[in-house]
Amino acid sequence: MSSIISISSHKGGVGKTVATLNLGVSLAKAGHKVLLIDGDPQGSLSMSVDMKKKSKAGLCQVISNKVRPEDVVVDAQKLPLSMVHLGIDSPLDLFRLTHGTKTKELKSLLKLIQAISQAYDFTLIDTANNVGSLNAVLLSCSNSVIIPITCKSNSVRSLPLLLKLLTRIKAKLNTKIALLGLMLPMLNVNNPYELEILTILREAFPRGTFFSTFVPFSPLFDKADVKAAPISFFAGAEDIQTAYDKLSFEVIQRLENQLKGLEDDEYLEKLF
Amino acid sequence: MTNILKNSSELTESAKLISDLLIHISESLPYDVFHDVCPPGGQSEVVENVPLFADTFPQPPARQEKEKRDQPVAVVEDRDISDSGFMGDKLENLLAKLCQQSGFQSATVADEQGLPIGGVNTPVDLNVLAAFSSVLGGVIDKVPYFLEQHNANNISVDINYVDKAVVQKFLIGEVPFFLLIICSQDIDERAYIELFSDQITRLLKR
Repeated sequence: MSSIISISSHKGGVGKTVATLNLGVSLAKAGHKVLLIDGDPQGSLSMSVDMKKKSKAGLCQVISNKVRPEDVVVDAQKLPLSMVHLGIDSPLDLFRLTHGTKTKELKSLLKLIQAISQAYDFTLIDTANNVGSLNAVLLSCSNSVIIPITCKSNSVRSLPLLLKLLTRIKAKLNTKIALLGLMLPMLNVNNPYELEILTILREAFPRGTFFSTFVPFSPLFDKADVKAAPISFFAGAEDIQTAYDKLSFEVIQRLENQLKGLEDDEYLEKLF
Repeated sequence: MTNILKNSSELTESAKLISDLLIHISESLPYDVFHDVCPPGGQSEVVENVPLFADTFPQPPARQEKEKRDQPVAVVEDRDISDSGFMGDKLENLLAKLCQQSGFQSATVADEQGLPIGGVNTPVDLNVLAAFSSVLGGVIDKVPYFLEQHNANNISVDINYVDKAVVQKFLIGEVPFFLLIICSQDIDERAYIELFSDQITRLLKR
């Protein structure tokens, strides 16, 4: 199974980067070969683990033939986990990529990501919190999307714009893209307002929209951010680690389910 | 605040778009069961101050068996509930285990008068849930009069479209106690409740 999953949200601060990193670590700990792509020009994911010290060049430098792909992918020390970032280092590059004026480069980026991800079981892309052309490209090379949300009104009300973008991508660019589910990367179970909003969402959304496992809110996430390490590297974070392990298992279950569905569709096409 | 969200066009629109985009989910997969409601606790220290990334090529560990990551069966050892000397703490540890293993959102134990003995993850005040469990427990006592079902010892109430509250009555000697749990309607709670009622009975008997 080689699958590209985008972790995407239109709202910032919902835990995309933390979810991408820790989900990747859980999948890698289970023995899967994982590639993390920092698709956010801010570089939050690569900064969260001090990865930019290892490689300043990224995918943009590969596209402009300054470096080879193998030079920008950095491997983790003890896990079958690798990471690559975009390598955007000038405001002009950022403007051109995010506003779609570099169409050729965007197409090359799409092909490059698809080529690199072939060597991995799972490729997780941490996207930026917008619906610009760079995100559209990252989503169009993905097989599936996970949307992290917080149980806050603003987070919920920002959902339609991203979902509309996904619908458009599915119609125009990538018919196989599907929503894998909504995840709760920092649910505060002691906050009755969050639980109330969660109940409203579960009542309104189709059955199975949410992953069954949620990640409980913890101040340890701030500590992990300061120490530039995944949460599973900390003592006392066993519950969170277990939650991510369960979540990664659910992701695999849903992906297998998605693949099975696609195979069934292919048989239907052949039959009729 | 929640009414604004409930009636918002964004919520309706999102629900429609999600139903178009969401993968088909097999019946065998768990639905919104929400495991591990118990919040993490305790202070922490960095176990190993090793950076995640280095120049050396990693050695992949052996693949884990899928079965090891499936949901655990509801087994609680006696030592699990004996971490501290106080009965209330032991009971809350036991209820926390119950929630973790079964996917229940909340668990409360109350006596016949509706006074709380212990509870975890209570969405509203523990005293309110305890009193509520006693009220529902009183309804269980009425069942034989109206339905001639003398063995009824639990009652389930849908509290919204997705969750339910279940009250299980259990006797210690001749004194009734009530276990109230709140969980997703998709959970079959009976086996877990029976198993944990036994554990709670053993604990309260001491």
